[in-house]
Amino acid sequence: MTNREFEKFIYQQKEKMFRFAISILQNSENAEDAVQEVVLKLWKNKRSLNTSRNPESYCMRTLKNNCLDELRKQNIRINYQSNLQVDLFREPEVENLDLVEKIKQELVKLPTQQRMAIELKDFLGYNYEEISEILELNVNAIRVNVSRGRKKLHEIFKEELKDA
Amino acid sequence: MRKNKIDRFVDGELNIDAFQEKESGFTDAYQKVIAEANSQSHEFNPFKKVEITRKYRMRLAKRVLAYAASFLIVISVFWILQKSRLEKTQVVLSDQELLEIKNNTEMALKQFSKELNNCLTTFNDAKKLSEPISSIQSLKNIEINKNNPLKNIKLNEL
Repeated sequence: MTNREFEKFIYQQKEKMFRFAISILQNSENAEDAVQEVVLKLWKNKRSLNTSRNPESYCMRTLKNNCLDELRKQNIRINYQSNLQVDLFREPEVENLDLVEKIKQELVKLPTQQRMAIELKDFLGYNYEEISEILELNVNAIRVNVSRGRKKLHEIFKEELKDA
Repeated sequence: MRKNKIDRFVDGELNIDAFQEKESGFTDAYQKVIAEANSQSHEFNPFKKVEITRKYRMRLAKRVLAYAASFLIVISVFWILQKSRLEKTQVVLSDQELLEIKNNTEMALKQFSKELNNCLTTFNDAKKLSEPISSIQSLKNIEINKNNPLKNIKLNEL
């Protein structure tokens, strides 16, 4: 892969990468940083990108690993800070939001594995095989994660119906 | 029991795009969330860190080249100095000086052979007249230097 081809490939993947990163990290600055870091890693290892069966999946998998590492570091930082400051952040008020906003809120609260699976399946349009390659899990595990995530989102709708 | 479309979607059997607009309140809201997310684009330079690394590598390469060049310069200056010092210790004569030495040597040799001829002539004359060698005054006048290779010649045996 030449430099120009690499640049073209990255520009094609840029948005997807950013959205996937933000779905894991929940912060645009950190997501931007993670994408830039992954692009640097891929640039340094262009050969492995060439030899991979599916460069797009390879790229997303690298991003996922990088984001999870970052998340781990953040958790360590948050745990340390929460020991110092107990009332650091408040739960958002869910009561006054409409269904779309509630779904968004619930998406953020989903466990990371479910959130990643939902993001890749519903938001970025990957199929189960590609997601299994990216998340390094088997297809059944991905199906379970997608299903559990969707169920949680559907629960909100059911509650909304009940309230109505 | 046959599952409805929503249940199949929740179970992961269907994709969200299998639903039409206003088919279900949940899928409508979910599709809105997806459409909203898809409509947002974030402008940033994904190659920012690559560019920083490239610049850093360029700087590093330049620095290494500069070090290598200065090292080469130091080595070559040292070598030139050593060479010139060696050349200074060797005596180099000019062509004119060599010519002068040659002329002087030729003149000295001519002078010497002339003297030697005189000597030998006197010696032969003396032999013919049967005079004793000690009486040959001209032989006594020959000044032979210590370093002269002819100084040890035994004239009686000639």
